[in-house]
Amino acid sequence: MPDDPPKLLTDDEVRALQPVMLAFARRSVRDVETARELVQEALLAAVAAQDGFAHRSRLRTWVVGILSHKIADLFRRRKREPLLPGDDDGGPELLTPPSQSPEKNASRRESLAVIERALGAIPELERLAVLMVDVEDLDHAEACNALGVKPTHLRVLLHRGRHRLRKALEDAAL
Amino acid sequence: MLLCNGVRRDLSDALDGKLPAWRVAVIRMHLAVCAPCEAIARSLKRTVDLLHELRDEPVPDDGQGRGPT
Repeated sequence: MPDDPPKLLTDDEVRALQPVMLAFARRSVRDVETARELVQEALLAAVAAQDGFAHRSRLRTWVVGILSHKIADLFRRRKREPLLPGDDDGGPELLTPPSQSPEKNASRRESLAVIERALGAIPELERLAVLMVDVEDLDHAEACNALGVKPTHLRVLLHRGRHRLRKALEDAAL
Repeated sequence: MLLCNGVRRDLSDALDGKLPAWRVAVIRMHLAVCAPCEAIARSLKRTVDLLHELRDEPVPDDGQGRGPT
């Protein structure tokens, strides 16, 4: 009698991944219920697609990529911002840098709290790009695939998002 | 100032290793002589380092209430 094929996403794996995915989703969409729905959708999609998991990346990276894709789809449906980068951003070059780095005086914990709050205030696609690349350590190709954008667009999103967060840190330390 | 703008525009890509070596060398030379750009580069690196640390941090309870909806 043949054994069942091995499951990639066992119940234990799902239990371990859920908090990670929920944290990512909450940071992305700012609404707990929406975040939970997105995590469930992503887990279902991951289970359905697990035969296609190539083992070239870690399981966490793979499911976060699927989750990011779901979140990017949600953002597109909401049509809160265009997919192509606009030019409404003054950009960091307009900032007047302080004479000394103020954030070095803030504690790590305070700085992380500022980053958390500021993440909720930056444009959605910038937030998602930063969360994927800087928090979850996805490579640019994986992030582009999840967001459905070209590498040049991803780099613009990262540039803008990171500098907005940097500015928030500077402002908080004033 | 044009050089400063170009350098600041490229800092994010530089952190990701997405620039050619010659461009990185130009940026390094500029940062060595331009204190404002050097401060921005340092704070941008600090920002990205903090984002890395968020990976294993729990989301604050007020995470759902951040910012306007």
